Amino acid sequence: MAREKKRRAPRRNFAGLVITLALHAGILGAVKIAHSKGDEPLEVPRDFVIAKMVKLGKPREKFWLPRITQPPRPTAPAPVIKVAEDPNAAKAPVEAPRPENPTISRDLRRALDRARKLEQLIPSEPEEGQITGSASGTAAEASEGDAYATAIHDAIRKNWTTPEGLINDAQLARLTATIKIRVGEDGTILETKLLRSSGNAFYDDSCVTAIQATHKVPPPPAPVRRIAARGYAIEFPGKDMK
Amino acid sequence: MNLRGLVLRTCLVVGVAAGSGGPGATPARAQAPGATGGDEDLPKIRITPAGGDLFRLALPRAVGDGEVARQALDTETRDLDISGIFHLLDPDSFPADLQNEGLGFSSALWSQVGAQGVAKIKATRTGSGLEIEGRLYVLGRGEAPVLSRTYRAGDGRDAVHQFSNDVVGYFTGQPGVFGSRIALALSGKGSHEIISIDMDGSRSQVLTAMGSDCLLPAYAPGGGEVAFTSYLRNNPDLWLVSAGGGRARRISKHPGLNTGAAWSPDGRSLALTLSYEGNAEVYRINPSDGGLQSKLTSNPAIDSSPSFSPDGSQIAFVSNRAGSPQIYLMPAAGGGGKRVTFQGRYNQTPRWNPRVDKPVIAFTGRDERGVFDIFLLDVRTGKIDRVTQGKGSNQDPTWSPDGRLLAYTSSRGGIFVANPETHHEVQVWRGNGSSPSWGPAPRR
Repeated sequence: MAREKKRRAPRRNFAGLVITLALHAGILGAVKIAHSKGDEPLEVPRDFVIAKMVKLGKPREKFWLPRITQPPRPTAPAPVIKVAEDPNAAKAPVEAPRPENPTISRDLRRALDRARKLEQLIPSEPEEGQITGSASGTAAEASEGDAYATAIHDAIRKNWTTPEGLINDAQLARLTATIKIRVGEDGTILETKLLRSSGNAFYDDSCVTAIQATHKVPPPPAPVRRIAARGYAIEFPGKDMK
Repeated sequence: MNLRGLVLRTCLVVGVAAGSGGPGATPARAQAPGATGGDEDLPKIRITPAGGDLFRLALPRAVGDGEVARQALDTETRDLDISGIFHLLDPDSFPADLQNEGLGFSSALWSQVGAQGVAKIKATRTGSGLEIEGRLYVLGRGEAPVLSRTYRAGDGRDAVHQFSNDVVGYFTGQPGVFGSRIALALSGKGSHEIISIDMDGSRSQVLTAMGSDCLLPAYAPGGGEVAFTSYLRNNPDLWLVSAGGGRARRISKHPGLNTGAAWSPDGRSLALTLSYEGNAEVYRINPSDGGLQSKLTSNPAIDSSPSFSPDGSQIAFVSNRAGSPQIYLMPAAGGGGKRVTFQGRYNQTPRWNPRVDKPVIAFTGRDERGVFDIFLLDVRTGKIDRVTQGKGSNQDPTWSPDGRLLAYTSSRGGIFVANPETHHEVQVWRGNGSSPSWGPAPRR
């Protein structure tokens, strides 16, 4: 009897090992099935980070008066009204057109021709990237979700301007409006809905107008059609998030 | 047998558990994007902040009596351009449908030309002058006008200015200043009298007939009088003349300088530079008789060009006590003097913004290239911003009565008006003039 028991002991240990392995395999399988992404839509990134690099150049002396960092806005379209005149000012004599100096003109023409020829000799280097890339793109490759969201971003942004003069910089920094859009299979914006107002009607208008002016974005690729049809929350911050 | 049964049972339990997670999760996953319809969990796309642009306003052809309507549209165009908050669309780009729309409005059509708003006027001659019917439409605010009003005035310009003021008021919450006047000293060839012009450069009027050099005019707060310096009696004395012109009266005739007068906000004092004691110092005098009220500075350096804060509690002035002309602040009662500009080696002509809520001083600064330009000093933070750049030499700023616009002289000739927030700049008057002073609109 004792010998019989001793012979059965290794068999029992083997069975226990098999049961343990089976249990582990089963649990791992169940976990995998439970987290399967079979019919889940693609996850779309929620945010973009736009990099800004400091311009190459010399730092400005601290004791110098500042310069306008952005170029001044061009003056309005050709004025339809004459600027008022000084009553004291004498009428300026009308100057007759000067005859063209043939020597200068010929030299100038030659120099321009030479410059044009030189320009053609130097092959311009094409920008590295993709022909379907974004003008403001920075990455060498984009994932599917990112690429389409970027296409929407670019399409809307080029139509968006904030109403300068009606909202100052300090106010702008505090404003953010969020607008929902739904996109059809052909890229048509099917719905525009103000989800969160900025609190400033002119600012909200500028955001809504940007989407209305966009009207159509590139058609969504098949994997993101469901997401596009459900909608995106387009966030319009007044200033860059620091 | 037992073992096989145990393994089978275990697998079955695990399988059921996994299965219950799967189908249970599937409907939930299916619901998340579509069925719930919630907008909170939508994928977010953040648009990179846009550059600013002025509000795109269309001004189509005015309705009404031919030439009168054309002139009214010209005045309106100029007003709204000077305001610096609008990008006026080129009227030639409007199709005939829109040009002939009358006072009505179709937002769908106007959105096609890129307009964000449309201002329309109808001008009609009346027995006593002109009647202007003004309408303002804003896209996205429906088809009804957001502003609809009729204005009557003897001079058609005044009626149009009133409409323009209301249009600006709609967008900024504060009416515009169209119709207000700017006084300036003529320079160059010809007489050097004090004149005043409408802020759009029109309706110039010579205020003085001194026959001698006149300079540095300063409008009284109510706009009734203009103080200025004249050499009529071979000394730079201070004179007052009615804003409508006429006979001037001399109020300060101390030997030496009687210049650079600035009115206190209540109109009861004039701060100016006097040098009768030997050195140029800032004093306060009574505008009615020129009597000395107080001496505000006492320093071996030259102190000049005072400007009152809008609450009357402080005075900005120029002093070279640190070696070069810089802007200083002192209490309105005088004494002390705190330097507030530390950038630039030549800062002068401080002009305090009349808005109490905006403690900003405009001044002329000479940059490192020797070019004069207009700058703004934030009194709270000490930060300096530039208003003009790369367009000649610009000097002698003066604030509009509402503190939104700046007028200044330029080496390009004449007077320019700029909106310091948008940097939109318009030449309003062409001629030789100096030291403009912006006063309120006269009562007509």
